[in-house]
Amino acid sequence: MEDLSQKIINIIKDKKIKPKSRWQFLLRDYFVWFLFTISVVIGALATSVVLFMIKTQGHLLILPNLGLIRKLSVALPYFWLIILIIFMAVAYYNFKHTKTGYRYNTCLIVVLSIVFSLALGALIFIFGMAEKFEELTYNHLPIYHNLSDHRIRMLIRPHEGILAGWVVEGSVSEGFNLLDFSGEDWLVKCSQAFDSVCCDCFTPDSKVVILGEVVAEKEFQAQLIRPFYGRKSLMPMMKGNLGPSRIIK
Amino acid sequence: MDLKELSGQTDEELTQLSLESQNAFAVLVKRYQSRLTAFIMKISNFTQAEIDDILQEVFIKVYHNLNSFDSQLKFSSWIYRITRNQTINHYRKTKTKINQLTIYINDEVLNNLADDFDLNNSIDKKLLRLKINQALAKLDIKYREVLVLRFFEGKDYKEISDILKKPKGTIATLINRAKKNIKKFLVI
Repeated sequence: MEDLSQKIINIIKDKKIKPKSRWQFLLRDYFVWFLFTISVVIGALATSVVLFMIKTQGHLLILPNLGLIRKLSVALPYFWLIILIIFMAVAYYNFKHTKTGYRYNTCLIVVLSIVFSLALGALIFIFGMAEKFEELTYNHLPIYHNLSDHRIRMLIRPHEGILAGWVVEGSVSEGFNLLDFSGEDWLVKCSQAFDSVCCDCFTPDSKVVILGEVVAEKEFQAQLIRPFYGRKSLMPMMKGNLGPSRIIK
Repeated sequence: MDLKELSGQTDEELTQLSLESQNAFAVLVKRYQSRLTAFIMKISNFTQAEIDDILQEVFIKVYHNLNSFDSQLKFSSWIYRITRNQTINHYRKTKTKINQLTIYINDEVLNNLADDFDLNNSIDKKLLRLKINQALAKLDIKYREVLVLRFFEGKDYKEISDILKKPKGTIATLINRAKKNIKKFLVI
């Protein structure tokens, strides 16, 4: 019976089997680490945008008389949370497939990934890059563009008691003109039971979200006014301009 | 180098030499052939012909991937890993059901198992060997392989972690669960 070692050597010779070159394995290893790094960076960017949106729109969650679903749709950055979860899963998968990734248990990798994403995401947010990244995504990713516009549209439902747009001119005491995000003009008057926390909402071009009711054609009675923050492209291009730089259709 | 000189080299040295000399690789094959055969038999109960096929695949794979061997690992862990993976692949392909195992359990291993599983040492050794074989055959393969690596192959937790590519904590958990499961099957 043929010795196994001799049999193996004969197969190697007959089939001209050669060891794969080292660079092929190195390339694979580097590629896995590259994918891991990219996933972590995207996860951190998503985290930074989540922080940005919580800061600018999180207060919408506590608006009274606004349905829970609408509040969550408008205030919760669910798109970015989903991106964060997906890319953390990708980062985890790639880390596990590195040469020594298997030595670390799942909990540790997940916790470290969350901590790292939060830390890097917070830094990106602090340096003001979150808004730029969100704007870039809005301008270049159609799905996010549509989702984002849909969220804004949820705030332009005057017959359901909610309106949002730019303050054109006026004051709380005497009423003010509002250009809503769809380009419609409104006269906003404040009811007796009026609640506003923003003293600086009423400079021209400021954005506000208003709860109240339609009392006449293009006239809205406000019960509550809050600032509305958002990406810079929602701002009018310059004062005196008749309209904002981008109107939601 | 002649065969005598090659036989004195460590596994890691032979791995490097195999890139230039097939004789060096032949020495590695001879060195691991019987150990890997015994290992495959313990976890699978395949026939000798199936084991020979698996071993052939293993050594070809080892040769083909020599440059991927990480010297931070023990060579034995690496080749056991490849062997285990090929055996599991074959096991899943053939959907083999194990009805019985015929692992020879020497006295040292028997005593270790008896101590670890809190078994009654006064029981007839022949009966104990039979019962352990029956119990091992009933175990899920993920438990059987850790027990075989730990008690029959004498691997420590780090080596088992490197072979199965799982964290050491997971290995400890698997061994504990394997012990609990095997105690249920050992009706003595």
